[in-house]
This record gives sequence, structure tokens and C-alpha cells, in this order.
Amino acid sequence: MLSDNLGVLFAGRLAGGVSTTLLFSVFEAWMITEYHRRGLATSDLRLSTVFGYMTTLSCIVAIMSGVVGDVLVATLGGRVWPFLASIVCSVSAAYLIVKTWVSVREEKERERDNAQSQGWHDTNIGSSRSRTTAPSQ
Amino acid sequence: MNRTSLGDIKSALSTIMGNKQILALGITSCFFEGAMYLFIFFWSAALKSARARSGSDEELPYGLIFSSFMCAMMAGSAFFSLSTPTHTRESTTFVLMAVTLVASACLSGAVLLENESLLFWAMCAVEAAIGAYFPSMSFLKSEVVEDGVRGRVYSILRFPLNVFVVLVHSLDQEGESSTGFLLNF
Repeated sequence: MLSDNLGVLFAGRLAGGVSTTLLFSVFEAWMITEYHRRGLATSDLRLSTVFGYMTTLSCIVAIMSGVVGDVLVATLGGRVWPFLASIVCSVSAAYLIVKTWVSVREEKERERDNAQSQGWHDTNIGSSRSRTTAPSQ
Repeated sequence: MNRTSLGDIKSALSTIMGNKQILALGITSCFFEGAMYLFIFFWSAALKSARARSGSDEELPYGLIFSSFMCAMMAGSAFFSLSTPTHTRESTTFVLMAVTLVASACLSGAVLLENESLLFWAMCAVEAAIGAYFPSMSFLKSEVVEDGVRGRVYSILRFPLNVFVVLVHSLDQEGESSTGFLLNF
């Protein structure tokens, strides 16, 4: 184990629980918003189909990662390695999210910038700054 | 910031309480996913004691069992995708109700079953039900909850679920209880 301190392990469990909860609520909310933002509602692709594929794909990934974790434990020895591998996965996911997701607020601000003159924006910079501190959805 | 987030929570709560459909989905997800988390926690212990009862002390192939569960879950989600080409609120509600029924029957069966392989197959059926549950619940939630409050409502719906799991764990006894679970809908 990387740490023998029970407090550290407990904190890790706590963070893990919080992120699992976020994973289940935030990702779904984002996906539905993105689905409507891209105008896919008018296309042939149904939201229910996307959800179906999403669950199927997660199962496939779960099976594969079970195998990968097993291989890691068998070849490298020690149960720490699957955890380290999951760190790599999480960091790359976070990087992709930061790079590719368009936040709703960002987009609204961009639309407003296009619609309004620069002067309007300058006078409202205070209010937009206070808005950026509000919790995102 | 505190005040705005408190207001957000209040508005989301009133949305949930004011809309019977969201409330029903919230209660369903609380019990179903709560039972699911308990199942995830207890399946290895349940299979182990079934094996001990059968008089064998051979180690269980946990990796293989987990993979079988995931395959069953995949079959469940494939069933959801393939059952109808176009999902409507009504058809999905039907799927969701059928799935909760199957899962609660199998969990009750798992409590009663003595035979090791029957127990395993009952658990696979539970996993298949979970596989069909997730897409139907996601779809229904996407239909019922409006975009503006979505993030907040989703987060708040997770809260009773976590409370439920913690409460049941504090009552931990041998074997999982699935009775609370029959109350759905």
C-alpha cells in the first residue's frame, strides 16, 4: 500500500465516494444538455438509444478493466497497480473533459459577446465576474 | 456564494416535491440503486457462505463471477436498446417497472435459495435487471426534468440514496434485505 495511515485511506475513500456521486449525476446532465445543444433531438439518434449504448459500453469497459486489473496484479505483483492504473485513466479523462467540453456559461457568454457591443460588456464585467463564482450546474 | 447555492437547493427541492413524476423516479432510484449498492457489497459474502454450505472450501473465481455479472448487465442494456426501436415514456416506464419487479423477485429469491449455482443465476438476473434499469431511468429522468434545474435535481436525487445505503449498512445483518425494495411505484 502507498500509505499505512488509516486517515489518509479514509480520506481517499471519501473522495472516491464524492466523485462516484458526481460521475453519476454530472455526466448524465452534461450528456443530455449536449444532446440538445447539438440539435440531435431532430436527428434519427434517440436519447434512449444513446443511454442504451452508454450502459452497454460501460459493461464492456468494466469486463476489460477487470481483465486488465487481473493481468496487472499477476504480472507486476501487488494490488496497488490497478489503483495506479485508474489514476492514469482518471487524469486522462479529466484532461479530455477540460479540453473538449464546452461549458454552458462559456457558450452563453460567447453568444452575448457576439450579440452585444463591446461597451455593454465592459459595463457588465462586474456582474459577469460575480456570476463566474456561482456554482456551475 | 453560500446564499445562492442554498437558493439553488431550495428551488431544486421544490421542483422535485412539486412534480409527482420526478418524486416517483427519485424514490425508485433511491430504493433500486440502494439495493444495488448493498448487492455489490454483499454478493461475494453470500456466494462464499453458499459455497461453505455445500461443503466445499475451494476458492471462488471472483474475477470470472464479476465478468459474468457484467455480461449479464450488458445483456440487460442490450435488451433495453433492442426491445423497441423507439422508446416512449410509457414503454420505458413499463420496462422500468418490469425491471424493478424482476430485481426484487430475484433478490428475494437469493435470500431463500440454498443452492450455490441457483444463487449465482439469480444474481446474474439481478445484474441483467440493473443493466436495463440504468438506460430506462436515465431516459425517464431526461424526459421529466427540465434543462435549467437538471444538474441540481440530479445531485439532490442522489442524496436520499446515499442516506438509504448508510442507514441499511448500520443495520447490517447476515444476508441482504430486499423488502424495502418492493415498495417501488
